Amino acid sequence: MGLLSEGSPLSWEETKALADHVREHGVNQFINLYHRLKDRQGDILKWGDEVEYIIVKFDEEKKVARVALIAQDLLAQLNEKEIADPKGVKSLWRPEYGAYMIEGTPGKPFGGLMAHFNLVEANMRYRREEVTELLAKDECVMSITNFPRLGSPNFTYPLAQPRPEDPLSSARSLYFPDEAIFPGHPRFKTLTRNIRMRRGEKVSIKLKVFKDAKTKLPVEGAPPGEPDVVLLDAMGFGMGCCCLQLTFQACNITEARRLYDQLAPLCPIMLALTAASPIYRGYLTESDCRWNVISSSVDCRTEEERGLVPLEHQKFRIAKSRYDSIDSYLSPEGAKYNDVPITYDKQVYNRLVEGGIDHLLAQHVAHLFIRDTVSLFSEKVHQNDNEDTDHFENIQSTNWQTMRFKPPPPNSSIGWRVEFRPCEAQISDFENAAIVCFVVLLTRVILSYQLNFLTPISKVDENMQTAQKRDACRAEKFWFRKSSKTTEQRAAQAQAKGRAGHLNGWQSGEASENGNGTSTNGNGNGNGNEDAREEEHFNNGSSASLNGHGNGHGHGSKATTNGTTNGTTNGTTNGSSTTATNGVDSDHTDTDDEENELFQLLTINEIFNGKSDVFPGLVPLIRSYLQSMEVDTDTHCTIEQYLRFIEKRAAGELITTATWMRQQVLNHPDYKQDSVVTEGINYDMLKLIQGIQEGKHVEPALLGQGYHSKTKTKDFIPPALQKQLAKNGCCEDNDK
Amino acid sequence: MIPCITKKYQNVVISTGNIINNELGQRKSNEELYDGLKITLHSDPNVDRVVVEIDERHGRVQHATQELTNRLTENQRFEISIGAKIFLNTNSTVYIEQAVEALLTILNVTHVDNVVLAYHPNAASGTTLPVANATAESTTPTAAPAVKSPCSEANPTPSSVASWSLRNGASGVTDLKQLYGSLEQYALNQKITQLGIADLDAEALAELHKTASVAPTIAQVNLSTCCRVPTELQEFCAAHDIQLNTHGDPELLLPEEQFSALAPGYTIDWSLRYQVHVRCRGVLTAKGYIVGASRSPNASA
Repeated sequence: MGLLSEGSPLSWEETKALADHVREHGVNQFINLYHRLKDRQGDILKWGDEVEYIIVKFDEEKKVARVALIAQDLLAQLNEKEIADPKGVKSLWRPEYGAYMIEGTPGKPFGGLMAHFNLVEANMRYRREEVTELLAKDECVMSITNFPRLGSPNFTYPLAQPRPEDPLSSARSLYFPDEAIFPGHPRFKTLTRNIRMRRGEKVSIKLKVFKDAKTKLPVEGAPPGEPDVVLLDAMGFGMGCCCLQLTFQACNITEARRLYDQLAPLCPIMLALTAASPIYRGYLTESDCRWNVISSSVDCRTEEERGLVPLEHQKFRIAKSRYDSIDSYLSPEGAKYNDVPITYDKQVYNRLVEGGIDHLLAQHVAHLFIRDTVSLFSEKVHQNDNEDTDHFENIQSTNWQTMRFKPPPPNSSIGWRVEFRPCEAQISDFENAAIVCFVVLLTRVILSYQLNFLTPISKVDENMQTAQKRDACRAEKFWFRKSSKTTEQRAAQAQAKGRAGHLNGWQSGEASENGNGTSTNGNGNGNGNEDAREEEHFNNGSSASLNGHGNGHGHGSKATTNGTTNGTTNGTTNGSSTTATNGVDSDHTDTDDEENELFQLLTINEIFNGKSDVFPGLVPLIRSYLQSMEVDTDTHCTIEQYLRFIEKRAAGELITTATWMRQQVLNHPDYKQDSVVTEGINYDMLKLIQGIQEGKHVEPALLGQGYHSKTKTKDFIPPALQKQLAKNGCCEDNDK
Repeated sequence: MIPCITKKYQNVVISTGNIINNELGQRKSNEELYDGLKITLHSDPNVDRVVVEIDERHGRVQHATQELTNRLTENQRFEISIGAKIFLNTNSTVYIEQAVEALLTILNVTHVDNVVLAYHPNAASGTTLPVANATAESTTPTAAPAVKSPCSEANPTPSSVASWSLRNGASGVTDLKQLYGSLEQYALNQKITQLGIADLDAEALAELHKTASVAPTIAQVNLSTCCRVPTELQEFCAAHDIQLNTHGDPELLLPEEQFSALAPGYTIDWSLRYQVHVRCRGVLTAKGYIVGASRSPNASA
């Protein structure tokens, strides 16, 4: 998140009363910004990572580790350099939910050169050192996903006690004191209170305990009738976790929509690979990941919305928390895989469509806007919808999904962006850099080879749950698109005929391009069609453009219009355009056997390293791509270390952080086979992690032998390349 | 299988067209070339997807030229970068000229952004893999990733391979200078922006650099050594603004017997690979091979 604007938060009652106001203006703001920016073209690749950190304080004498509630002071110091020289700093620091958390990003985005991949780890190291310099000797900045004893007695320094009965408490948690919420900005406590109040009760996060031989049931605090549940009752248990995220700029809106879709099915895959959080509130659990924890931690849905009681006061049942995996694809190729019902307000949708937004995007935005605002500041209530975007951002930024589709900010040089959000934070800079570079390389491979990973949303949802199971990286299988010979032949035929048809297999045919993706040419079918739409209204059925199949979808009042004409285009991307599913809440039309056969269950190893005659593997695809690019030796050396690490973790030769943590607990001499991670075990494990991140301790199971010094990461682009770029025009940040 | 070239040409130029979507996965350049030639020369021309043009006058066999042209024109010329690498195992400036002319003609561009020369008159034999089952190998078996993993920092240097200077001697450097000189002419005429050289040790590179009128600004080293580039080479490149890049190519791209199985009666004179990417976006849009061949001296007309 960016620098937060200061302001006075409204009370929940005031905020609630303005929910429709925010919705109405947010939608208008989106429509306006869309028309201002939809034709933006030719943006270069820029990208950046975000790593969140927890500050840990070690009591070396008593062998206790606690979270240090010092983020506010620390940030004040870290931000001094940025305030003095906003463009010159190598890192940017932002607050996060926890009073013990900070978020670091590179000072400016990385660019579209291969050599930029070699800067990431060096920059991450720099960030860690920068913070470390400001810390006391017994404090440590750690990129761990969750503090294992978060919410256990006395887990903070200075000590703070929860006040569940205090009506002024934001969280009213039995375990998580308000003092552990970042105090430097009102947003965090306001969100905490408003989510709780909207829901009508405290949030309820339930995790199955890992049942060991002597696990005591019921677990302390377990809900009645659920003795094996570790119950967490505050937003801080989720939002107090750290993530590893990355954002990249697409060359235009069409490419952004495409990459949003193509990466969505990879979210659960990357979540499983990066699993790093098996311990909550001092208990080993059955889960390896934070995802469901955060999802439940901000679940503001009422009982009506959750389907527990009949709808009376609320508009709809809502299937997921506002923090969860995405519900719909945005590109025309993705439309037919939107197979789960997408809840939205028809009036909001109609407003968007009347405002010239195509069906898929209108559906996406309308779905985001089923949420009420849960944080509103008095200064921001009244806005100019032609210029401001705060109300849109208010709802957008509190929809925390696996992917985020980000319009350009007002008055900036930044283009359409996509954010990739599922990954868990890893212990070392090496690992975090490896994951980040891997995902960005994958986007380049997708664009270069026109790969197709689209998988029905229902299967992606299923994968999300699978990904979080204990040892999913080695033990579970995931739905994945396969490339059989027949599908490739079909694709080739479609290609030869110069039309896409619907292309199957993970490798999409050339013809499906037609102005998308790799083309910077302004007149791709996306824009062309949208232009056409402005002239002819959606309701008269001429709007099949970005919509895959242009029927009315039963949402608008004109649901029965079977608008399959795609007049202005030659029909290429509208391969499945004629199937009508009037009155159905989704884009799903294609359930024939041929389609179903496209998806099969693969292991993480098979997805990353390949399976004969099915899929070449993500790592070999990246290697193949790299051989066709001009890569300098140092960068190639570094990337190769990353690929080898990922390949081995996927193959199970190296274990995930989550599995390693479990082993640390289970093999600890103090462990009593009771699932409890004591203060001593916690301390020892965190000390080991400190040794790993500093390169002083080698854990072969986690990283192989002596990983730390192998990459050739640098904090500059090779000078010879810089000189060449100076002649040819360069790929550096061009906003002045 | 209908071979597309007949023996009526003394010289032929064969273009594979854009191969980036032929077979995906991790493949070696010799496998790519072999498969590309096979599709170009031996596909059933009645199959829809196969588009082979035979230019009788110039003796050119080109596969999927239209698709290639589309890829080259979907972006503005200044938005893309075209790089090429010429593989030469014979000392002939004529071959260099044939290669560059074929490149510019087939891609239909006035200039390319860089050309790298790989000259191996004494190519290490056995550096190519058997390609008979190249296609079958292209999907990586999951069991043995280590074998496929290039750029190993752990394996010992393949020290058995002597340096370019040692293998090719002073006369090799003299020949190289002449060959490079042909490329310089294209650079001086603005048909090539940047020149490069592959696989040279620091000594040979310094020798070439000394007399070059257009200094090389790219030096390619084999990917297998990318984590331990010799210090002298690193220092020389740093001091002379030469980019040290990686490549994954064998010294001999396609052994004679394999080519003659594809094009009986002909031998390869030169081959080249080009790749096109969108500047500053890391997107590869096209890649292909062009091969120049001539009738074998002992083949009867």
